[in-house]
Amino acid sequence: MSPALVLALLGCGAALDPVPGTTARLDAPAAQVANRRDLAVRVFRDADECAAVVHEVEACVPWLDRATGQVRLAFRLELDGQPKAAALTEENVEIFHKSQQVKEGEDVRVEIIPHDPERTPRLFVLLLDASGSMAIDDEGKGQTRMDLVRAALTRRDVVDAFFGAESQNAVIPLVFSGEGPPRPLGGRWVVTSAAEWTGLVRDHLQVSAGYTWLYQAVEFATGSLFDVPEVARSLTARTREPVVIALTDGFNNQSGDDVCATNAPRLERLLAHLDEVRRGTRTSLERRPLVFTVGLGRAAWRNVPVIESTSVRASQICKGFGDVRIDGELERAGVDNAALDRIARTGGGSVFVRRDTRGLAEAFKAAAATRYGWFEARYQVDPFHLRRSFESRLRLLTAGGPTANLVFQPSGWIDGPPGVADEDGWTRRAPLAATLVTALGLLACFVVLAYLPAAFVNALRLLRGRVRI
Amino acid sequence: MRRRRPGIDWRGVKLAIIPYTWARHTQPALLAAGAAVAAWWAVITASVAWQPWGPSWDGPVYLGALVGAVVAASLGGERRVRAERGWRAFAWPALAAVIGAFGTTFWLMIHGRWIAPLLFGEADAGEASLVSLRYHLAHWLLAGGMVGLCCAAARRGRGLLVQFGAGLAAGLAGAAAWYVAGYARFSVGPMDLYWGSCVGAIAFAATFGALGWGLPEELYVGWIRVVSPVLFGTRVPVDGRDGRARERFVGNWRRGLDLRLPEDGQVSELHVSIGADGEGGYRARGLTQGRTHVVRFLERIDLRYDPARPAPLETPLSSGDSVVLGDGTSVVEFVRLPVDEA
Repeated sequence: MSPALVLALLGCGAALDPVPGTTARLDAPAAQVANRRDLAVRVFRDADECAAVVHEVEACVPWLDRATGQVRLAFRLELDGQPKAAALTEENVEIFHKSQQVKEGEDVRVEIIPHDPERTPRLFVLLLDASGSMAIDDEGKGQTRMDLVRAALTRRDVVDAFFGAESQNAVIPLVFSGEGPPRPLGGRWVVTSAAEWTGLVRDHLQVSAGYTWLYQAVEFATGSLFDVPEVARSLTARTREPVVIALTDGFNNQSGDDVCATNAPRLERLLAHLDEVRRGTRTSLERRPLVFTVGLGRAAWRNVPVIESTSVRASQICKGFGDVRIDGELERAGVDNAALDRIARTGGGSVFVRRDTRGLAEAFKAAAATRYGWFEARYQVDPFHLRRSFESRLRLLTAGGPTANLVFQPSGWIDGPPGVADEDGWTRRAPLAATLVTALGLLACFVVLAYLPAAFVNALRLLRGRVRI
Repeated sequence: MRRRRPGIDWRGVKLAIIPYTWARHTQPALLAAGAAVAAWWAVITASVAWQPWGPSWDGPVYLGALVGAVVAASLGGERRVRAERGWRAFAWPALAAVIGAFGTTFWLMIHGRWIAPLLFGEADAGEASLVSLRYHLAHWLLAGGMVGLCCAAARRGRGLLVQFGAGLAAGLAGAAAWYVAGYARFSVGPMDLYWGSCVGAIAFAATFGALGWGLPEELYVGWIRVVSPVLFGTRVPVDGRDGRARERFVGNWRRGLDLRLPEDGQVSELHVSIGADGEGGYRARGLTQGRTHVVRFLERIDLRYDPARPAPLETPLSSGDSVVLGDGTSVVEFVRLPVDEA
């Protein structure tokens, strides 16, 4: 019978989960209430949970090193209880320690480490703005905005990101301008090879006349598009997961009279649609797209507030410029990054605003980045902040901001052996035998100290001739 | 009188027992510190490997184990050097003291957790995970007090105040070491409560070991031992284990002397006497007009008998003093050896 069991039978076993290699415990998890389909963050609590879903159990189990102030938790995303691979970085996850956000800085480190790269094929829907403004040459170097996009889309690294070696990804290139649903580029709904893609972009990606019906295009690309037979076949044939990447160079602008405030109810409708297709019960799991937005140009708005709701007020996306006409006036300020941010958040993706080919390429690659099955969230704070019970909370920067937390209850008296530092400065669990080494080393010192004076006295007596050998 | 054994003669100071030097006072401290380290290791190992208890038990288990180990080490250490009592007479009181110390400390700490917030008027005082010297100092003092009381009880009340005071001092030392070593801001390198709890345990035990019970003088008796070439190593005890004062005479008288030295070294028939003063001290008394010196570090005392004085000259002796007789070829030393040697 193990000592733990004996003590548990005696009534002193606690309903707390141990943190392996430490003397800390984890509070019992709070009851989860799920009343609709939603993205959730699941933090792994113990080795059993980890062993059931990952191979690297050691990296997955929570860890706390009070000598250095380091905390590590592992998590994965789940959609309706099913694991959901994702491409997350420090920019997509907020970490809170005792309700205080942990931000990289002096003596504070944050790192998100992905594990188990996902091999599930994806269907990229590239939604490209082909409105008249894409013909503008911003730099005066004879290179239009559309030229920048074309160059970015045909770069080797971007093509590799879409059609990586041995991947079974496919791309749906759509262009939008003016009223009506977006059109497939070159009449091709689904492109599955890098060569075909490159040729298609070079030969057919052109500017056309018309206003920027961005919201309508996004709504189509995340809804009706999947009813197109070719697209539906492509989705189901290889169980590809849809990823929508929408690129624009300005504001949603459906007529010459549109002012900024006109977009508020339109955006609200779009966000409600996105919320439904991503989290509602009417959309099947395989049709739930991830939505990224890419702005070409400079951001029109500074200090865009983070708003998770799908309701939109004009003041939120226009600030004091609600009555300003978009065409020819507001669009000169740049890209409507406030609206793009709301779309990406609700769509579960990220927003990128870039001004050149390289920046666009980085944005496309980030959107098409490899997704991972689970992640480690590591952070380091002043060890002082680990000297009482604390909550570590993760918050995903997407719509709804799913969160998960662990409440650590470290010991108020003792600690396990300090972690062993890796090359990158993060520590890992030290073997329990380290305590034995410490104890035996100390006992050896005491024995030496106990005998040293006697040995010294005898040595001295020997030198003085008081004893003989 | 014992004969010198062939080969290595370690009888002057036996390594297996504690020599009469200043360092003997460190032995109880080292023994208690060793026991404390063993207890600390057991608690850490159990806590990390199984975590069978909740955070609120960490303190009581840690200090309870520490208190039990220190009591066991202190009483066991005394039994080790004072072997006149039988094992049974020692074991039951010692066992009761260890169990009592552990149980009382544990029980009081468990229940003190509910009282602390009331005493301090702060809810934080009851949080098991809070690392705080302010709220833990009382626990350390409690542990120290329990060590002192339980050791004194097992010793039938002998040295109660000294041991209780030593226990409180041990509590203060342990708390200070635990806090400073466990707080990275005070430490040179990255430290946490792994080292803090270890250093705290050592400081606690060593302080009590050093202050609570020192090796008493009564455990050592004086011997005269020849260190000059002829009769090298021959030795006689100055007093016996009955505690009564005795006097040993050294000279070359053929009959009846306690230690007879060769005549050719100008040693008188009755040259010097070395005796116990009945109060734990020893004295050398010169009995002849021949050369008689007591030599110790940076000091030489002439004990030659002066007929003009009404009484012989005498001087207190310390362990390691040499007495040079006659022309210097005859030298005896005075050493204090553990009573077991007698």
